[in-house]
Amino acid sequence: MRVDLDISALLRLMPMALLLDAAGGIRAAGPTVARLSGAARSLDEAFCVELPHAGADVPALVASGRVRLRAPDGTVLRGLAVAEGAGGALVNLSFGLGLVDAVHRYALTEADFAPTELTVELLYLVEAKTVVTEELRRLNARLDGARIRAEAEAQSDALTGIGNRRALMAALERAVAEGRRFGLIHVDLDHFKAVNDRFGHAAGDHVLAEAARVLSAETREGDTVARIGGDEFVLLLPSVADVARLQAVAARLTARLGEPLLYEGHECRVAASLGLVLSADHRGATAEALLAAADAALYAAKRAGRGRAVLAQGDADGPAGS
Amino acid sequence: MHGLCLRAAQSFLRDRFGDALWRDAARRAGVPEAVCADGFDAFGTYDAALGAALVEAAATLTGHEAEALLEDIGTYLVSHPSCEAIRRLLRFGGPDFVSFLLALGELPERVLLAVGDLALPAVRVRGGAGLWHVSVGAGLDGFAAVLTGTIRTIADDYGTLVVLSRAGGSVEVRLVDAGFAEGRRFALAG
Repeated sequence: MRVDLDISALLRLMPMALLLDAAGGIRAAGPTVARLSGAARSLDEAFCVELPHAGADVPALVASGRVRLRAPDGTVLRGLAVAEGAGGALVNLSFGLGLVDAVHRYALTEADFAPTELTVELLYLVEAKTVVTEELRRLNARLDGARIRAEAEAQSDALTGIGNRRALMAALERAVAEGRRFGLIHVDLDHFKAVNDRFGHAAGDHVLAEAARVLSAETREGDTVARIGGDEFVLLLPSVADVARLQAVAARLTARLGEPLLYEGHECRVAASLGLVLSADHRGATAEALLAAADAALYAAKRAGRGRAVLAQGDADGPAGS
Repeated sequence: MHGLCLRAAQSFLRDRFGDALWRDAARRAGVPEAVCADGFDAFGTYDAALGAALVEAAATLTGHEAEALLEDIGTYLVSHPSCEAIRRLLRFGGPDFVSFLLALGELPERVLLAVGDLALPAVRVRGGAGLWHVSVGAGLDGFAAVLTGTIRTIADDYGTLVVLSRAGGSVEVRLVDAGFAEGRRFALAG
């Protein structure tokens, strides 16, 4: 069956079709592809053939079927070539994914495309996607800001539920500013790394949570207990402001934290070294200085053989064993 | 209710009546306090009754009819500079007003292409020769009123003069002059 169709009707159906003669001369061009081919009289004059291969002649185009052409400005067209007449070809083309660029470059309108093509829908989608992506980007930035704010404002340690370093510093600075008397205990778990290494991080986390529970049990209302680092804790105890009671609390803590813990049948054994500070021994010291003194006393306790507490001596005196 | 619908109402109230009124209306409508401060999340999901409550609250505070506010939202969405993207997306519906109107039946599908979970009520367009009936299905209270405002404004955008009348979910569109005015420019390449 053959179809009797005027070429103008054919090119309305396919505004990006080229009708070629056997030598590659352009007999007719659809109005949209003509925006690219201009006054060119042959395919070679208008485009570089890239597929099936450079310089392919009309029989080669027909033999291949699929073709890709490149206009001098870089626009790539893809399409299908079929035999027409005596050795000629009808090549229908499309912009493919280069559509968005082509619409800009040639100021194309809806009338330049066959209504059967989803050209306008594709452009619509590209634009809708851009709008939605922009909105998601804004949302993401907002959530990110909220997360950073929430983290900055968070005062509790996620693992143990007790305070974190921020909570401790806030309480310590407040206590110093108010000139209160208090005891400060810096706790470091000995052999914690060994538990982690032998039984895994879940066991280590369990030890930390238990240690936090033991420390919390020693606190009274108004005291602060915080985890300030991996296995480091600090107790701020306004309720324990004299040396005898501070030593008594320290002794209880070293005993309790030295007890073995069971985790999934494994005995996890840690100990605690403690650095003690009495605020009354360090008049005028800042929160940072008090914490540094507790840290130095803790270091002395570790050096003295772990599992013990050392009280930081006031002012000019160095820390001494208890 | 989809966050984008509520965001539309929120942006409209802010741009038209100011931030203070938006907050008052939101609080009165029972919008959560955090949302009153930061606004609706465009991709959040909210209580289905919140949209109607918000418009009712704004109507009470501004002294406008709720239906009129809904139509104004429809106008706002396709004419305010901050909503240019929406106007452009709608203008992809067709090269002239009649094509646009006939393509309104595809609006819910088009919207789903852009935002996969934003389900709008079905829209059906019947008629011809200068008189059309647009019927809006159930599922989103107030949508017919919003769409009325949008059709009226988009007609202007195309430079077409139409007369609209709405009864419930049915909108009658009468074409008066297709070439009434110049219309606003629209190119596929924005």
